Amino acid sequence: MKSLIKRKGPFLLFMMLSAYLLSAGIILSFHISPQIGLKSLFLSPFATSMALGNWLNRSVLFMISGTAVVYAFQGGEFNLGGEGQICLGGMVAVIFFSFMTGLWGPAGVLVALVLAAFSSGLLSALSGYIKNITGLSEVITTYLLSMGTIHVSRYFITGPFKDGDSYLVTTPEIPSQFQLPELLSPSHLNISLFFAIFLVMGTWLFLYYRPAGYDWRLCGVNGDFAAYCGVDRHKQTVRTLFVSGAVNGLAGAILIMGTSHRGIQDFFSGYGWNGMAVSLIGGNNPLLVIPSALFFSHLVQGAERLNLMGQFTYPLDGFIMAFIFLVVTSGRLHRD
Amino acid sequence: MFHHLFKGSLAFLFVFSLAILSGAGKNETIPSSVYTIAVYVPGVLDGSPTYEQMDRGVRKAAESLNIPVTTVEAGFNQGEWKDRLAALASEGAYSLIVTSNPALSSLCREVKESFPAQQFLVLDGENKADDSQAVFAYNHREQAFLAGFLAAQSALSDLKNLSGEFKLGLIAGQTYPDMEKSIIPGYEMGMKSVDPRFTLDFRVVGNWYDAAKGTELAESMYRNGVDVILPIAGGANQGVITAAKKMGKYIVWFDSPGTEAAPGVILGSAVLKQEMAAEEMVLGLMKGNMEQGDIKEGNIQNGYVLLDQTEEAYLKYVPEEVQEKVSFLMEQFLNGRYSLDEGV
Amino acid sequence: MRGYKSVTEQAVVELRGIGKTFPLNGVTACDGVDLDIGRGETLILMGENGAGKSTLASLVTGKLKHDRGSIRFAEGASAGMVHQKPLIIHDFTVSDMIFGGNRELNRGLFYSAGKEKARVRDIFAELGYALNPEDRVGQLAPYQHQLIELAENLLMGRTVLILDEPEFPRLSSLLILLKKKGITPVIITHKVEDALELGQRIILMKKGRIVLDRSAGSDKLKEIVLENLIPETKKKPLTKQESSLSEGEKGQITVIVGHHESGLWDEEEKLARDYLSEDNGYIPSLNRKKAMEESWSVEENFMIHRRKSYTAPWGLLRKKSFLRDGMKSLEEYGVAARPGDRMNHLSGGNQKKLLLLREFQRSGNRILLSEPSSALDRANRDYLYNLIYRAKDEGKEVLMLTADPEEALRLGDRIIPLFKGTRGETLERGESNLAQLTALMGGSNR
Repeated sequence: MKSLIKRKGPFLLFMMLSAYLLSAGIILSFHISPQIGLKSLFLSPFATSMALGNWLNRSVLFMISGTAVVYAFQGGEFNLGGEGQICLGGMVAVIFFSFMTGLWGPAGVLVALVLAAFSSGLLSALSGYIKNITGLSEVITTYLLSMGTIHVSRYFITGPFKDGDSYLVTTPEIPSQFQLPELLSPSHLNISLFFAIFLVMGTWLFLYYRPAGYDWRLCGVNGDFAAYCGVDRHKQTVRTLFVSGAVNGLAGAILIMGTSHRGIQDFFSGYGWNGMAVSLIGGNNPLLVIPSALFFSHLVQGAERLNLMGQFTYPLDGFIMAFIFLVVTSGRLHRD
Repeated sequence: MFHHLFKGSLAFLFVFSLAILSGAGKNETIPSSVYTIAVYVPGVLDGSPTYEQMDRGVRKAAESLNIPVTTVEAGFNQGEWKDRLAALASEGAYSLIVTSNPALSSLCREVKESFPAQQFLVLDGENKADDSQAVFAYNHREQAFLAGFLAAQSALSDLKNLSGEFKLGLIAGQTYPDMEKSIIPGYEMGMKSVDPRFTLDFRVVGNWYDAAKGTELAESMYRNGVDVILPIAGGANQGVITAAKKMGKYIVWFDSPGTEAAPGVILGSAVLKQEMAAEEMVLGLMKGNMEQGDIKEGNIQNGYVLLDQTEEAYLKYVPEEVQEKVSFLMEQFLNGRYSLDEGV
Repeated sequence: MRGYKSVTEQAVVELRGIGKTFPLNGVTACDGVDLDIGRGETLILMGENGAGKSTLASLVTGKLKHDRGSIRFAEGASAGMVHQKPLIIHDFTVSDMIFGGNRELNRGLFYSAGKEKARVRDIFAELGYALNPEDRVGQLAPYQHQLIELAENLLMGRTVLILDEPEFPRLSSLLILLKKKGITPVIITHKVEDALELGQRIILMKKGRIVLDRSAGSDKLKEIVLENLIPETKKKPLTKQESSLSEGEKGQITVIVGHHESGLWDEEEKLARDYLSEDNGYIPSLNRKKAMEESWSVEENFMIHRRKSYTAPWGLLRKKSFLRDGMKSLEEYGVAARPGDRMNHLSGGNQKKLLLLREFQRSGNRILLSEPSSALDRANRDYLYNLIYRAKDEGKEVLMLTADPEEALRLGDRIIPLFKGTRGETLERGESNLAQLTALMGGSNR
C-alpha cells in the first residue's frame, strides 16, 4: 500500500514535527535551560544502552496496543477499553503462571498468550454483542467494561494473589522460565520485538490483501456500502471488537512476561491510551504504526527523563497526547 | 486539510520561537560537581510530610557539604518505580540516591544488580543486613506502641462521646510485612499496657487513595463502639477524618505531626524524625563514617521515634491526665527504664 | 474563438484565457476560457459531465485558484454560488446555517440570533418563499437548502450568482426578482428545455473550452444545442441494439414507474434485500454513498464483488491478475481511470460509468436499477441504455425503478405503474402511451 503511506505519511510527519516543536516550546517556556531540556527530550533514548533498549521495548508495546486500535478503527468501531483489556490479558497470564509453575517455558508462554488474547477478546466482543442487541454504543461499553475489569484486577492484585512478602502492591514474580529472553540487558527489550513486527506485517497483509480484510475495512469506511456488498455488519462488529481486544490481551500478557514480570499495581497504565494515540498519528495505517510507535515512545521517554532530571514535573506526554487527539479529531471534522 | 496543517505549523513555529526567546536568557549550568545526590520520591512530595522531611534533611546535609541535590518524583504508579529508579542509576551522575519506604529496599537491591557502583540510602527501609544499600530502619513497633498507648488512655479519659467498650481501631491502606510483624503487635501492646480489656478492630482499605472507602470503614467501626482509630492509609486517611468529625470520635496520627488537620479530633501523633535521620545518614555516608550495608535503627530511646508533645492541638484538647501519663512513659523509655523487649 | 461579447453593454465579470489543471490527476478542467458576463443577463452554462462547468464556476467564485489567465470584476461586483446540493448540517436552524461560521456576516464572536432572524425572514419574503429561520435544516426539501445558500449569498452582497442545477419552483419569477435587485444570474443546467426558456444567452462547454455561445432567440438554437451536446466518444463502446427489443424472447426489461411520493424508494428497499443475497447487479438510487467509497481507489471499488474469487490458494488477494482482467474492461468501455486513482478524483460521469460496468458484469441473472439515469448527461444515458439492452440480450432479467414515464416507455418490455405504494396492472410493451401512463402514476384511471 505504497499509495496509502504516501497519503498518510505527510500527516505522520506533520504530527511528529509539531509534537516535537510543541514539547520543545513548552520546555523552553518553562524556563528550563535549553541545553538540558532539549537534550533530555531528544537524545534521552541514546544516552545509554539501557535507555535505548527501554525505548525500543516501549515502542514494541505501543506497536501492539496501537495495532489493536488499528483493527478497531479500520473496522469502524471505537475501542476505548484498551487499558482494561491489556490489564485483563496481563492478569490472565499472571494467574495462569501462578498455577502452572512447573510447565515448560515456551509452552506456558504460548498458552498464556492464547488465553490472554481469548479472554480480552471476549471482553471486547461483549461490547459488540451489546451494540448489536441494544444499540448501545461501543464507545461507552468498551470503556465501562474496561473500568470494571481494572477494579476486579485490583482486587486480585491486592487480595488473593498479592505477594505477602513484598512492600509493593504486587503479585509474586512469575517463574523465570516464562520470562521472555532479554535482548539488551539491563533494559527490558526482549524477543517480543520480533513478535510485534510479525504482528504489524500480518495485520497489514490481512487488512489489505485478504478478502476478509476487505470486508473489515469496508465496514470501517462506509457501512452502507458494506451492506450493499453483502457484508454482515453485525457479525463484523463483533469480529472487529474481538480481534481488537485480543491484540490488547496479547499486549498485556507480553507486558507481564517481558517487562514487569509481575502483576504490579497499574502495570498496564497508559498503554491503552497511548496505543490509541499511536494509531491515530499513523492514520490508522497498520504499517505506519511502527514509526508512530517509535516516535511516541521517544516522546514519552524524553518526558520521563526531563521529569527524572527534576526539570519538568508536568506530564508532558499527556499534554502532547491531548494535542494529538485534538488535531486528529478536528482534522476529521474538517474533512467530512 | 493541508491548508489547516500549514496554519497549524505556523502557529507552533510561533510558539516555539517565542519560547526560545523567553528561555534563551536563562542559561543554567549543568551540575558539574563530582558528588551529587538524588532524592528519589516514590510518590510526590506535595502532601506527603515524610517525603518532604526526607527532602529537607538531605538538602540540609548537602548544603553543609556544598553538594548539589536533585529531587525526582516517581509518581504513584508502582509499576514504574523500578524503571525510574534504574533510569536514575543509569545516569551515573549521582554518587548517592536517597529514598524512603520499605518497598524501595527490594527495588534498590534489584537495580544494584545492573548498576553495582550506585550507592543507595533507604530511609524507613527493610531492617535486613544487605550490602546493596545503607538503611535507616525505624522501630515501628515502638511507634505503634506509643499510638496504642495514647489511644487507649484517651478512650479511658473524660473526653466526650466515648463508648466505654474498650475498642480501638486501625485502618491500613494495605497489609505489608511490617504492618503484620510490627505495627499491629506494637499497637496492641500499647493499648493492653493501659488495660488488657482493650481489643483491636483492624480493617484494610485495599489501596492508598480511596477516601470514600476510608470513611465507610471508619463509620462502621465507630458505630461498633470503637473510640479511637489509627489510620495508616495514605489518601484514605482523609476519609477517616471525615467520619470521625461526623460522628464526634477520635483519631491518633502516624509518622508526622498531623493534629492541625483536625484539632480536637486528631488527638496526637506518633512521629518519626525523618528529617533528622536523613541529614545524619547523608552526612555519615558522605563523610565516610558509614557505608553501604550499614543499618541504623531509630527508636524511642535514641530520639527518632516519639509521641509529639509539642503540638498545639495536643496540648489543648488531650486531657491533662493523659498528657501526664504520656510524658511519664516517654521519660521511662528515654532513660532506659522501659523497653518493649522486657514486656509490659 | 476569442472575445465572447455580452448581450448588454457592460460586463460585470471578464475572464481572459482562464486555465486550470489539477495537479493530482493532471486533468485540465479549463483550457483558455474567454468570457464576458454582462450585467443583468441570464447566462446559461451547459455541457456534459466533466466538461469543466463546475470548475469554471469555482474559479469565478474564487473557491479555486486559476493557473493561467485573469479574472476581472466590475467595481463592487463579486460572485457567489448556489450548489446543486449545498452542504448542510441537519441539526442547525436555517439562520444558524446562514450565519454560523460565516466571518463575512458576523465579525464578532457570537451573532445575535434575534436581530438576524428578522433579516433572514425579510429576504425570504422578498424572494417570494415562506421559510421560517427557526426551522431545522434537516427537515427541509432540497430546493430549500439551495434557498438557504441563495439567501446567504444575497446577505453577503454577491452580485453574480451561479446557480448549479437550481431546483426552485417558479424559477423564472425568481430570476426576475433577482435581476430587479441588480443580480446577474448564471445557471448551470442539463435541461435543454429550461435553458431555452430561461436563458438570454447560452454557453456550451466541452473539454474545458467554450464551444458555443448564442443569444436566446437565434435560429434553430435547440437543434444546435442538442447537436453539440452529443459527445464524440473516442470509441463507440457498444452498438445500438434497439432492434432487439421487439424479439423479446431473451431477457426482459421490467420497469416500475411512479413518483417518489408514491413510495418508489420503499419499493427499492423491499426489492434490494432479495437482490443482494446473490451476485445480482444492483444500482441503488442514491448510489454515490451506497454503492462506492470515494476515499478508496478505483481498483478497490471495482473489484469489490469479486474480492473472494480473486483470492490465491495461500489466502492473499491476487490484485495483479484482477487488474489485468478488470482494468482492461474499464478501458474498453471508455472509463478514463487508473487503478490507483482515488474514486473522488474521477468525474461524476466516470464514477457512474464504473459503477454501471461493475454491476452489469456480475454473474447473477438479475439486475436491479433504481433511477439509474438521474444526473446522467445525454452521452452517459445512451451508454446506460446500451448496457441495459445488452444485458437483456444476454438473457438477464432487468428490473428498473424510475420516476420518468418517458424512460419507462422507451425501455420497458413490461411496465408496472406505482401509486401510493400499490402496484397497478402490468402493461405490456405497446399497451400504453405517455398520457395514459402519466395518468396512472397520478392515480387516475384505476
